[in-house]
Amino acid sequence: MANLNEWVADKLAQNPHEPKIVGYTPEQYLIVEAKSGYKFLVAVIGVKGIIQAAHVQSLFVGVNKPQLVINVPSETLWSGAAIHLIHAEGAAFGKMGDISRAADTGNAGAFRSKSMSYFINAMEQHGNVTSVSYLFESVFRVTRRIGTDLTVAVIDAYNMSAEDIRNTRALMGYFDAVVKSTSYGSITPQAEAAAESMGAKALTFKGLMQWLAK
Amino acid sequence: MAGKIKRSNVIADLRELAVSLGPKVSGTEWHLFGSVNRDDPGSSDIDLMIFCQSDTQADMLRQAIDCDSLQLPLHLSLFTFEEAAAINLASVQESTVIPLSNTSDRSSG
Repeated sequence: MANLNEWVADKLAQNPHEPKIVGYTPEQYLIVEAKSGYKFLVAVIGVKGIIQAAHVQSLFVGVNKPQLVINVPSETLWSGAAIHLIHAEGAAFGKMGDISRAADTGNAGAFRSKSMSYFINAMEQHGNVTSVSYLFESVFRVTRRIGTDLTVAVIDAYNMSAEDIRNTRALMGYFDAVVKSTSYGSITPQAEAAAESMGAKALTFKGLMQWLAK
Repeated sequence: MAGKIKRSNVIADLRELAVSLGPKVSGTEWHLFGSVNRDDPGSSDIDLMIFCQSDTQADMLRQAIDCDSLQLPLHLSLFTFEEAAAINLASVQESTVIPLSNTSDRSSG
């Protein structure tokens, strides 16, 4: 953890606009201070592959508990079980760039990715949806009133490419639909074809809402 | 953040990254867009599109590029040239082509 903490500290120190690290807890959690003076604890983990509940469970057994858990490298996947555990502890999860975003909330434990929160809320409020749960940080199991359960992957892309589709499948496995997180931008014809070749759909947000009703 | 993260430095870093990848980037075109390209303050990541010769090259670059290796996280999108043309991507995103050879950068929008 020490090396990871140093890496994070170094990254933050490179930019005076970022929150600063003002100390460490005995558990080696970072004590981060926002520009506003708000302080919170960040646990840095270094899991490669998929982050499971077992990787984060021990972070919450001590006296000091982190409000934010970040993983380095950022490309790693957070499992639904790890996310549910962290949220149940009143904490948040994310990557390096989320330290600054969490600091800005003034309540780091309540920090949530804006784009994912938007999708979760929208799907939960859909008339044909009874529940939404995390499979990974950006892949959801959607249970419907009418029709089978669906697996929906959300990708952070302004414009969705065929490579986005292939990469999502390689990283996250099966999905019924992959959805672009931003409302502007396009889906390339090649991305639609790539999804179709997997028996899936490449959709915009509007397309997802219509598709969930079917 | 972009007040301190200089666009010119990001372009230099991206060129260095491209050079480090060697023949894997042959025939590709790198486009910087978004807040860093506009020199907006408060950028949280670097938006980069790479146009590739083939699906295979795009998949290979996804594996080869470490998105945590620069000053800010890299938000990487990979397209074939055919895909990029289909949605007029460079123009829509008002991107700047990063010269991978020793020439100055140019806007493509």
